[in-house]
Amino acid sequence: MIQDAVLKIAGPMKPEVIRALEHRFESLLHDSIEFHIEQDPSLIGGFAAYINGTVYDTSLLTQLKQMRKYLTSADE
Amino acid sequence: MQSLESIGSYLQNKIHSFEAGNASVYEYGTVHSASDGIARISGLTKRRYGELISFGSDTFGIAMELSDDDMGVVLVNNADSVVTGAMVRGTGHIVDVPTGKALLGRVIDPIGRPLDGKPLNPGGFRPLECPAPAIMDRAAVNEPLQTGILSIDSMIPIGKGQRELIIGDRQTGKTAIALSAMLNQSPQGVICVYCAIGQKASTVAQFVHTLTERGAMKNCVVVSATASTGAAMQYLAPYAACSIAESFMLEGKDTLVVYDDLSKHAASYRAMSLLLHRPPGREAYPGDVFYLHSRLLERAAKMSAEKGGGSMTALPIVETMAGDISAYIPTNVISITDGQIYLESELFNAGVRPAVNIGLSVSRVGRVAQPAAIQKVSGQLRLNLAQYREMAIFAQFGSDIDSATKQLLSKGERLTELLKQSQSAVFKLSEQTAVLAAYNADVFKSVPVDEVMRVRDALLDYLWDQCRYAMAAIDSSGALSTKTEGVLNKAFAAFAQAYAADAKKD
Repeated sequence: MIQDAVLKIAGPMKPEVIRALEHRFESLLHDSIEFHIEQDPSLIGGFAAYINGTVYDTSLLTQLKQMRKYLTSADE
Repeated sequence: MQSLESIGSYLQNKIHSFEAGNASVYEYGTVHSASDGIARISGLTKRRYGELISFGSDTFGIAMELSDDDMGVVLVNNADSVVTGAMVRGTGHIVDVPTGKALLGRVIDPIGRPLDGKPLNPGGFRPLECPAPAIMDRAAVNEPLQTGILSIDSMIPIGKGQRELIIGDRQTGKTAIALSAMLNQSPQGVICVYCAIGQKASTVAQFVHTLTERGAMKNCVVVSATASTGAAMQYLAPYAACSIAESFMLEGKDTLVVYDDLSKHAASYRAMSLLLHRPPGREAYPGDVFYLHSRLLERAAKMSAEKGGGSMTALPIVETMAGDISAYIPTNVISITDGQIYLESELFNAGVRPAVNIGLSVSRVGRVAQPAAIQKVSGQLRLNLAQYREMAIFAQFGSDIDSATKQLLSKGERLTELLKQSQSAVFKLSEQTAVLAAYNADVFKSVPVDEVMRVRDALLDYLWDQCRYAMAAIDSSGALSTKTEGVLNKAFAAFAQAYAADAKKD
């Protein structure tokens, strides 16, 4: 059982969606997970799962940051 | 309009080709304690030493202590916004500073944020810690860097690429010397970087004001970590200043960097080290305090012609306590640098300003770089002054003195007067050469001691008026030709005659 799993979400999320996410991560990490939910509007959208020292980040904030980096970088 | 359209379509294509990954996966750590500007973090492994750690919301720290299970991070800014349990991530890059022309005339903090309220669009970035130029990339110090201060340029000459320490008690004019040197670089196009470490913000503001007022700020960059910033900022400041100067040096430009001062820098590093529980050594400084300064000053260099021929001259400043130059930090920095300018409070209080103690000041490499003109007229100066200082002590006892000693004393007194200079007044090479040549020609022999400074300035006005071309020739060639020397000697004779006539009239 992974104890310190945190799921940061931008806005309210349905319990069944959260349950589905837990299942997905459980099958990925081969361990049971129960998320502690934190709301963080700065993510804009999506979620960021903090599990065992690793972040699985699908938030819009991070994607936008990546896009900024991509657009301001020079072409190869 | 076509170019606008093409930019639009270019951006459109680029946006279309952007692929958002499913999820970005990275490491995070957790703050488990934070006190005195140090945060302990668990969970982040495989971080580099010196890596910038992000605490979110514009708060950063530097990984200074790495171990298997946790990490000591020194907080650079917003130290009070860090809470336990907060999640942090490594940024993957070492601390860097903005570089390039956009910095000229600006005041920034050690992590590159402008402090003068204007936006900054830097040309590039450079890591704070860079290796010093390699042996083969360096050239010998062979060009002079004129400070505009007569006593320094004549007796303790500084060359481009040299490290010359300015050392003395508080209130002896250390910063004033650095300021004069910076003001004198403006016409030569040497880029100056001034680094204020742990100083009062009002002092830094005054310094910037003087530079602006004298029109020198357009060639200067000020890196400031005032006393109100944390130890980490003060620790980073000289490295930031060095990296900025270094980037100009690598472009082939001449630079001058002033670290004001390294004793406060050492003290802030000591504070950081003690809080990180590193074992204290002598005077409670950590074991690597020598390396702290040696790696900084080693980056000053004169680059070879193949590497662009740029240079970085360093003027570190160290404050002593009650004139004790054998304390830990002063001895360290003296041994690292290529010479020191030692300022004494006794001299300062006796009205000898700049209060340079010639006996304890040396320049180990600058003599080679000294302009021929001043080399020609300053040969005996050091010896004369040393003899005078020695004799002056004996003369105090009021014993009978022979005429030779009397002459030595009278010459010495006048020389001491000649070397006095008001704050931030700078002498050109020609003016310095002329004053010393006049001294050698005994122009000031019959001038009363308290009149010497006034007569010196009158002589310079006279020379600029009467033999402008000879003076300009010295400035442009850096040498004193026999012809110019003849012109000057004639002018000296005429001036002395006029002065004698004037004195008689009174």
